[in-house]
Amino acid sequence: MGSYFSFDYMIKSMPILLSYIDVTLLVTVVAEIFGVFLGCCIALVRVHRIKGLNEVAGVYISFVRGTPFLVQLYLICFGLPQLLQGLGYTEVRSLPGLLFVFLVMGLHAGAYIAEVMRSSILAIEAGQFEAARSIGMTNVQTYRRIVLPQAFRLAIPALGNNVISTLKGTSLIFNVGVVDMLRKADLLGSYSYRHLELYMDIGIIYIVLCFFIQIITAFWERRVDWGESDAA
Amino acid sequence: MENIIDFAFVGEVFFRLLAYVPITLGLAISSMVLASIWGLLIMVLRLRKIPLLGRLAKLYILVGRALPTMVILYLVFFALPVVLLIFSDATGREVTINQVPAMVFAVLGLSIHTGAYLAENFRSAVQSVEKGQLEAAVACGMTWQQGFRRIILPQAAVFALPLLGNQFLTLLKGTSIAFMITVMELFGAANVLCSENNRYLEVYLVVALLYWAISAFFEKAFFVLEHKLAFFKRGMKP
Amino acid sequence: MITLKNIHKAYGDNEVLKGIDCTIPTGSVTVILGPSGSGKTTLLRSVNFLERADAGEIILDDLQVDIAKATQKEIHELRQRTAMVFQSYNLFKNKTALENIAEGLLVVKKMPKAAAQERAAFYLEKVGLAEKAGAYPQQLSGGQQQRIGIARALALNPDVILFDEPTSALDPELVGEVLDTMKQAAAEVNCTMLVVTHEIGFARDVADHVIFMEDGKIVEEGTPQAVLNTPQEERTKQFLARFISYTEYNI
Repeated sequence: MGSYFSFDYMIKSMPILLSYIDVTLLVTVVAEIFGVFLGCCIALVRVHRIKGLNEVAGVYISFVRGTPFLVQLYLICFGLPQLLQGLGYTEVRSLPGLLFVFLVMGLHAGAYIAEVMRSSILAIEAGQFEAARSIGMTNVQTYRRIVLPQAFRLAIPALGNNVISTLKGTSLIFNVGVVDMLRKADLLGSYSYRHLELYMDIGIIYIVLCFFIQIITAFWERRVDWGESDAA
Repeated sequence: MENIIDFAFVGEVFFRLLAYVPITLGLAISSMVLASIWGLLIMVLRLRKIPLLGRLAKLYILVGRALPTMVILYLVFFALPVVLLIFSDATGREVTINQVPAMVFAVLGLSIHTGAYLAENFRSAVQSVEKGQLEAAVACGMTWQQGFRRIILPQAAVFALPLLGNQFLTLLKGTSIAFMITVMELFGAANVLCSENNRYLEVYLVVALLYWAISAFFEKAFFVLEHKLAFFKRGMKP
Repeated sequence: MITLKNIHKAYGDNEVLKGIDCTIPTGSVTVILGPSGSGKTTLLRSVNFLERADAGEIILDDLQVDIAKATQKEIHELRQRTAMVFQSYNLFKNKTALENIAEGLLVVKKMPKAAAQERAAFYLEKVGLAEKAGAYPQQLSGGQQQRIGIARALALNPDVILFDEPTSALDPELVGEVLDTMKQAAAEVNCTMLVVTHEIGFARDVADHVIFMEDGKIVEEGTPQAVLNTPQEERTKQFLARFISYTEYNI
């Protein structure tokens, strides 16, 4: 079995692959932050059914959820530059590819987060709004101080899932020129032909990362408890 | 606008890509069928807490959901030849990997990935059925298997349908990743068109719209199906 | 005849059954009374192993089961000889009223379809719900569902029917119809009925034997007249004092 599979090689390549993990983490974090801001704005638009914007948001969400992430990735990273060049922005070539990746991943996460936040805002009892209004709070104050914090707490499990989903999406960005651990695995594999070992390493890295995200999610859920778990 | 989007080309792209839609559908449907059978089996293993297999099932569910689709496809793509080589060495029988079309790897990989999600979906559907239903069944003298098959499964199926629908839509989109293991499906064909013509925008717009249309169709189909099967949930007391 | 010997059951530190010994004569209607938390439901559910007691013996005529060492086969045998009527009815939601009664006959008694349906129809008629044969449980009232539950148990012709607080989940005006059905069953059928309930009136009117449980033990047992009218133990008196003004069972 020795020449078919080598644990030794697996162990040796692990540090090499791990050294590229910063790209993966950076992309995930930036995408999620962008996605949360965008998602919240869109959720508010949809909850209040703001004319015009609501329909646009609906179409946007439907598109992002109805098309594969890979297609969106290629569309933005290859199609958008072509569009911009056609419109006259010839300096497009000098923009780093990573920027487009941030854009597409943020837009992707944003659509899903918008739906999550929309359903958690709707799940907040009307009584909370009424109470805030009755003491004279404006809409903005109500949202900022009462509703959004509660909505976030409800959304923590779903948001955690979204982070994991975004993390898994980073496995595809090497196709559009990003040099991350998957690109490295591809390169190493073309020399050593030990693809299986390399991708098993990658698999292990992803599993461990997911595990950490789940721990952080659980920790966050407990921190923002507000006594809910003491109630009967 | 013409030098940005070549509309004639758009039309050509559309018709050439249309031929690949059946392949995508074929991949998705066959993976879904396999994954459902597999997912059901895994769920039962976990539910019955069978000594060793139950633990393995739990591990499989964890791993299958934590790994990105692409990684699972690559693992299957690279692991299977190794397994077959070891097999032919051990038994002395020659099994060449070249005979296996890439699509088999894709379906296998997608099934393994989706099966993990489905196992969890089935579990939550089964647990949504009232506990008392199974108690009544065994109190009548039925075995667990009889009660499960005749009483729990039909009820759980109705709860599971929306989850199954969602998973299928995800699977449809996941078939696009199969091009990375050399399967010539819709997205793979789109990439070929791009490199042949050096035009990206039109091709990717068309392929996105095609996927969008397919998703919308199945989303509607599942919605209708859920409505039809909810007949026995109708009239439930509050 | 059912004999329960030295039944013990604890949930963690909480001992719920502290050594129950009793004998229930064949064909009798035995009512188990007691405050909540006394362990009466746990005891009932231990008989058909819906709860698994920790220790003790269950003897059902010729079937002797040592609880700690009970095999799947023995449990299955026990369940084939008993039937249960649940507090929340637990009718099979994906089957009609008729199919609910026939289900056990088809699958457990392995009767042919026509015979099973005939028998099911007979018992459905017995409980007065023949016109609801094609209705699904969700379309029926609680009282109707419970009567079908009783028919389902009767149709199986078991040695024992276990009733787990059959009227506790019902709206007050529906309690009467279910108790009437149980009364009728007791009169017509000669299987043993073991009933856990709060309905003192039912115990007084229909039971042959009353067991009072508190805190995991049997405090007192005997004929309804003995236990309900002339209780010996102090705790029995205290429990009954709450009901002393209730002389009728349909409020």
